[in-house]
Amino acid sequence: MITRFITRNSIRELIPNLLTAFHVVAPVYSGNVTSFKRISSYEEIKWLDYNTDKPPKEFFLPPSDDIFQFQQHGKKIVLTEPVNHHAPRIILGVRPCDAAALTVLDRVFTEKGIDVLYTALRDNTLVIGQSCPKPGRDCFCTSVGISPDESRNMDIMLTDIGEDQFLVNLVSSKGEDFFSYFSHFFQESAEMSGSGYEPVQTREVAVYLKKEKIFDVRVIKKWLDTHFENPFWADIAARCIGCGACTFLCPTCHCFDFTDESVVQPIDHRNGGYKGVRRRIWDSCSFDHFTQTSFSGAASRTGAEAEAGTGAGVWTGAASRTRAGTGEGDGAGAGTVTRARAGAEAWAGAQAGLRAGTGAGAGAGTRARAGAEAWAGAQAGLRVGTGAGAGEQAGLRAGTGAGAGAGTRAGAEAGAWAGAVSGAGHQRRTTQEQRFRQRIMHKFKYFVDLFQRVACVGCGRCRSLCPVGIDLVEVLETIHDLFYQS
Amino acid sequence: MSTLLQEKARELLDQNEVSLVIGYGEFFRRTTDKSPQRIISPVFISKPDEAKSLIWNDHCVYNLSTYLIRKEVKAHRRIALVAKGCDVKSICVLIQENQIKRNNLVIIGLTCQGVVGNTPHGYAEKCYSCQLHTPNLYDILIPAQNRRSTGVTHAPERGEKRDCAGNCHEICQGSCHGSGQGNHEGNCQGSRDGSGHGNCQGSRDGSSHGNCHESCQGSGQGSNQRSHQGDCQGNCQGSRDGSSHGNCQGKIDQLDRMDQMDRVDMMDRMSSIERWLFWKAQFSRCIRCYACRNICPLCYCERCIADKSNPQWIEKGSLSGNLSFHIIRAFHLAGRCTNCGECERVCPMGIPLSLLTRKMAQVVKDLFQFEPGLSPGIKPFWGNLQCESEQSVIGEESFINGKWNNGKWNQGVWNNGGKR
Repeated sequence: MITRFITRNSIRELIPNLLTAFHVVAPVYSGNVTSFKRISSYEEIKWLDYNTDKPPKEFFLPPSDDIFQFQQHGKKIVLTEPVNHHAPRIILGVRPCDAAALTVLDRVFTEKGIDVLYTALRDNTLVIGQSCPKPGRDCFCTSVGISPDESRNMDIMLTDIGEDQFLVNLVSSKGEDFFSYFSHFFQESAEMSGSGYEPVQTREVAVYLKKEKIFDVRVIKKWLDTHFENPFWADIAARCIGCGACTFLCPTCHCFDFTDESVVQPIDHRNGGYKGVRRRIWDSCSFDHFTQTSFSGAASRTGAEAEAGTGAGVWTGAASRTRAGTGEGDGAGAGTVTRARAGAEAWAGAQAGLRAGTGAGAGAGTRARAGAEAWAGAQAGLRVGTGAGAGEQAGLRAGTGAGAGAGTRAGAEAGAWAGAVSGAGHQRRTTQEQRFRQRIMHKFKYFVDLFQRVACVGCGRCRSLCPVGIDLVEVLETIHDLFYQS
Repeated sequence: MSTLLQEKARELLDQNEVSLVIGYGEFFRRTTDKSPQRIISPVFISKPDEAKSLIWNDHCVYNLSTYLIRKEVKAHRRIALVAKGCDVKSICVLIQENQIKRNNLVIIGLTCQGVVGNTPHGYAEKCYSCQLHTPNLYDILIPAQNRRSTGVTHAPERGEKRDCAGNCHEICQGSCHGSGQGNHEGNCQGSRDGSGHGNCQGSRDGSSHGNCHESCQGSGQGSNQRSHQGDCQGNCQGSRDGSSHGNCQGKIDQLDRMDQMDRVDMMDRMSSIERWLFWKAQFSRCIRCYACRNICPLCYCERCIADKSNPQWIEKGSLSGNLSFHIIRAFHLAGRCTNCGECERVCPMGIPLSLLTRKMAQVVKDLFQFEPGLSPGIKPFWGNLQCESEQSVIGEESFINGKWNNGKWNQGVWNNGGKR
């Protein structure tokens, strides 16, 4: 077996070569936090022992992504899709947890429909990962089934073996291609097998690996399945201030919103001349306006009419079409703003039915509770059952001017979900307790229902960065205990 | 002192005077280190028996008054809040602005001798200019643990170093974590496990952040694991500054080693271009998580202008939107912000937001001799600007070169006594 190495010096020589053809992204200092940034020289790279403060998620799901531009020409609105200007990229130094998080994003954005923006970024990126020499203080990746030397989703994995040398592990064919092209920067040794080398700090990692799992995600799931209503949620969420730090810094959180933003003031008022851009931006379930802004986003798209009702009507129509798509349609539809609300309730009912149909979701008890609760169950139901419905929704959005690209994009689970809620147009989760529960439920129950894995990779960022010290591990441990108590 | 606090809280709940006590509690966090980490975090206590979890020490950094404006808390008939002098200032403003009723609130005041923070000397920046080590408004007063042998209670003096060696190792394992900068965390992660290492562990990567240097010097010179690996150079002195890791901007690095007012001075001395570049760099890092807004006790708008999308005032997906948001927020807080520093502490991207609020406070103080939060009885700053009287707080000299008092502004926009 051939063992391949690369030294730090070779990387230093390699980088300028890469820079001529690629955007090279690596961990750097940005202000006083560490994050991934496009670099222009080797010196900028910050070699860290563990993950960065900010995950590389932004390179696959940017905090703000232009979908298309619109410009008013007299009575017409002309849409321009942005040219795909994404240069091929190499992301260096991605940690196993952050790489594993791509699995979560892949499921969402490629499984039930292809999100063109995401896949464009994903496909033109080569991930050169790095195994963790030692666990970070807040890490708990082993508890969610990931290990510090895992190479999933990487193309090439580097392992620090000391003396400025890295063991090179070619994981994918993309990685092999890269290697064959730049092979003169690597060293090979036929005699020794990779296992003969001891990665740096392996002892700490070994200790970490041997440690008992802090919690068992299957147990967590079981408890969540039956405890949508529980005093625990109010207790744990009392101190949550409802900011988006945990979700925005989570490598797996993927909720987004659409917003139309004018980029140029009108020059000719009579004929318009308005110019703007539709963007996809990060959104967070922790925000108290989470689903509400989605709706107003929709309203602003159709302008003042939405206020009067027609815009909203169209949009709610989308919701009913979704329902029709699932065979649940009652055609209630909507036409006015008030009806949008009514539509929302009907929608909840329809969802409940749907849920019954697919057999997913919580019991009748929860369903009976109107509003937010019924809805959360509904969410699971929707996700299970209405892939097609989601497509419909997206289709409509395309109809109102999003273009074909948007259509496919919204086919994704999150898009479907955001869209559906937007259709309803009001905040379903009125308390922080509900919003906090949603975050946990989404990661450890709904996502498992849908994709058979948890939407958490144990990077520990939410624990480190919560402004009021809410600790996800503490939450999960408590749930674990609650399960065995009950 | 925690015991006294616990007794008082228990009494209040026992006698049904309040239905909720919000205070500081101690939590144990699992980490990949040997021993769990002890952290301080807000606790909500509604049963007398739970009062024993309350704690008061110099790691109680949070300004809990932010919870007073939450509707879940407002639903209570009467609550008790544990508050330091700086936190009580926020309460005063909330009372002035009619957001909370004094009668519905029992303030358990804490005499404070400074809390940990990210200055080079280990205290929070606000502590060095604190005049309210004993709160100006309280119902029950809990004395501080005496820091000095004299037993005198006062705020730290400028440049005074926080003494880590004493009790840090007991309590401070990162208790002030919570900020992405990790600098709080770094502080005095002393040798709780007796091994003498592990200082500076707090920051996520140890190397870069905050005041590792302080803790290292203070307590454990020993093998500082993280600093070695994160090339933090010896005792972390280099933290965050360009000296040890290359390419940080010089200005920011200098700022990190300054006390608050020095930092404001330094901003003042920058040319406008420099300042622009500085803030552009800072705000380009903003991820719009709104932690700064949500932790702020005075950001209580039910619907923040930043959340509105029809019409949309502030762009959500651009640098210009980030700038607008932060500048608008700073202006909204002018004359109101009490500089509790929470916005800066919680920013996961480490943006030095209190530079903005400090500057605003300085301007308000210089021009109007007004300092917010000192008394709950007076009218709020913006409600008290008088344009007619000779003794107007808006002096001729001091406001826009004296032109302010001329023309129509005078005649009845503000405080016109009902005339139009």
